[in-house]
Amino acid sequence: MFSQPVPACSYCEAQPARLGDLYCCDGCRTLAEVSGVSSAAPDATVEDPLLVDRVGRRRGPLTRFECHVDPLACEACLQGLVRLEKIVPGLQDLQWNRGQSVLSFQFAQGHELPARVYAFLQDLKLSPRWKTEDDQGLLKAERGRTLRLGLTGAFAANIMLFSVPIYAGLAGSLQSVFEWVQFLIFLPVLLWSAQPFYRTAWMSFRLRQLSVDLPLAIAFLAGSGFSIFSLASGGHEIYFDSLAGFLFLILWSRSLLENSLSHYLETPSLERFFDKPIFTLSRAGVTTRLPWQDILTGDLLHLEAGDRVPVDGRLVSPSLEVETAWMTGEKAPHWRLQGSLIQAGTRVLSRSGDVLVTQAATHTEFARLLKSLQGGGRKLRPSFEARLGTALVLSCFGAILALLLFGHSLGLGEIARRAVAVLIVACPCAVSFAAPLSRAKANRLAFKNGFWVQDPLVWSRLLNVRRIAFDKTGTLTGGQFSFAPHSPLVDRHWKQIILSLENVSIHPIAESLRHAWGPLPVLEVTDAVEIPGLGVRGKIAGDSYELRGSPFADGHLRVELSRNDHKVIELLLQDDAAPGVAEALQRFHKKYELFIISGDQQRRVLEFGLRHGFPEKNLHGDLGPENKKLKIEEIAPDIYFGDGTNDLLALKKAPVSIAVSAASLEAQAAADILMFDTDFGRCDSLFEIARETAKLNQRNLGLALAYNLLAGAAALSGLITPLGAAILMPIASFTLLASTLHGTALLRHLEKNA
Amino acid sequence: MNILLVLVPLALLLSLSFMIAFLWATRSGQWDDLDLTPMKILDETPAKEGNTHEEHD
Repeated sequence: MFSQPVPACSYCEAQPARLGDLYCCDGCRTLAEVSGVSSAAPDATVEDPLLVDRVGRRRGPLTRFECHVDPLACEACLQGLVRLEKIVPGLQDLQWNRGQSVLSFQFAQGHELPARVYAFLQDLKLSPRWKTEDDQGLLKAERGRTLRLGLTGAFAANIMLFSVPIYAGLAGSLQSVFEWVQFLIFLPVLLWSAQPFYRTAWMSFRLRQLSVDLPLAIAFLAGSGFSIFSLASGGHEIYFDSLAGFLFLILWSRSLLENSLSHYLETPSLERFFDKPIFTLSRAGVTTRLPWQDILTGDLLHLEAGDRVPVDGRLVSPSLEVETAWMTGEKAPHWRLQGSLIQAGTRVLSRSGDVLVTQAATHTEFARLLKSLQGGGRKLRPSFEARLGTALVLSCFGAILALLLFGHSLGLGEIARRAVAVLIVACPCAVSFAAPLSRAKANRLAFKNGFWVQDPLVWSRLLNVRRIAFDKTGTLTGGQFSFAPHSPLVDRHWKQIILSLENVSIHPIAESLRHAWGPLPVLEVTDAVEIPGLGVRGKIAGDSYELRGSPFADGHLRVELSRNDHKVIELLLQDDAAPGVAEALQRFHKKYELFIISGDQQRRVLEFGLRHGFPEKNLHGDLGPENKKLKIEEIAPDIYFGDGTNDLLALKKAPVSIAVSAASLEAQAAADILMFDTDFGRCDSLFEIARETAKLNQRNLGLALAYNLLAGAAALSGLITPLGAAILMPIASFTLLASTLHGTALLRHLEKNA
Repeated sequence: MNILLVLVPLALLLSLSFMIAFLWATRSGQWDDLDLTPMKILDETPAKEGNTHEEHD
């Protein structure tokens, strides 16, 4: 069954719009809203010299800055970035590294305006994070790969240029001259281009682990040695063109696969997480400003709205509004009162406050969680084609060994010739690049369908999905509330009073009421007071009103409005599913066994789950990050959908982990796949792509196997010379290349309709 | 056929010069950003008043 076509983004028109939205991303929304985007330039942003010292890198007369940003969803986001140079005075050399998703720019020393750039990126909803570590090594490695690929291509093309006349019949002294020229051009391919294969082959030899690069390197060296020997001894069995072309094809297919994957999502680290580099604090009575790494136990740390708390501490100020989504997954605000523990990872929502530091940043529970992720990466499993390649190579070596043992009547020259022909013809190059190519194709298709695949081997794990587990808050629910069916109807007068009281609040209840009732004229509220954790109080037209939310009862949130201490209205609210979730769940229930694994209160999980058709035994609430991981081990779902920092361990543990749109950066980094929205219905396309890619792989591997068996047997029996093998090998490679690019009927359909 | 003695080294020299150009382009970061640079050329948004690089040069 094919998925429904999705309308295009109203701004860029290049990407599908998010479910229930006109735009594909927040960047497009911002750009559409500020279509003369110059006005969005935050001229008033205050620049901080300490920030320049901390995150800037001096390079001669210039200071260079780098920022991690979220992956750009569309061309319009790029257009937004281009305008930075026009908007921020003195900004130079603006560059965006797609692979690492890093934006870099420079200013003349003394004229740095990094905070202004940062504010603009925030406007585009790109979640900028300053990059303080100098990754020149990474950049150099990227350039090295480009250089190797480009030059190998050039060498291969030039060698082929000199081999064409020989194939066309050139003979005599000119043939020798052309062969020697080929050899000269081939030398850098042999000594430099193939180095990565030699290195991996040597490593796998030393570690006694067969990798597909080991046979590749051996076949390449054997073919090269044989050709050089033939050239030096006046023979004409020379295969420099095939060997160089083969190496180029392998390098190219691997580079395609790397480009189709994300590189920027490195393992979560504290450096990535704490986006504010400098904090104000008081140490021994002296106020100072320091980076978060230098905050010590006993310091009095000053926190402001929007800060991510880097340390554990006790609140010294009377109260502070925070969210602790990293622990519970729930983004709703909570009030903390004087003396209560404020844990690292907590986000300050409103006001400012002071905290007495009890644990420095690197000793907190939050730091331990991130550390466990760094050490607890998924074990690298060899792919099926790698195992198949290894088996092919072993059979190749076995055949050559048999030839040596039982074919001595043929003479050493003939044995060497046949061995080389077997190695060249049966070299698993087809297997080596057909599978990465089909995966790259699947990744591109998934991207068009709203998924960003990070783990190249995830496709085989998506073939037999039976059990799916979801986090609740942020994944299935969008943090919005709706009225329960038996909640009383409210007339316009009371709506106006409630909305006036909630006017300044950003609490999800206030947002939900505004969303449900729409804009109404606001009444004047005097003596308005926010009651921490409970609600708001104020006077309207001489009467005292209080709006108070009580904890969830019967799965509902009760909101009471009282006038002069007498209850007048009681509203009943319920957790709302994110757009499209209810319909997707309804369809999923027919095909899969579904679970909820949530950090939210059990009764809220039950209320939501039962309302959406989950069996009660499959609903699990009140789970912290570690318990979520244990629950994943117990239930063993095939896929886990999550969004928060509290899902990190579970995401790492699940066979396939998918982070939904608006997931925390850490969840994005830990997941195998990112979803661009919460439209779970699109997962059907993902499963279809996985199935079709598996079919394509099977077809390719079947072709490769048949070719290897037939050609290998022919080479072994002397029917194919090394020259014939060198001609057959690229033909087989190009056949598989064509087969992969052609794909299957369903893949072509998906591509056409994406 | 003697012309080949000139043409072959010439062809090699030509391809060598392209390779050197490619080497220079890669080492100096010409391929580092293939997205923003072409867009900068096409972007017609007027610069904000006083926003020119020359002011710091």
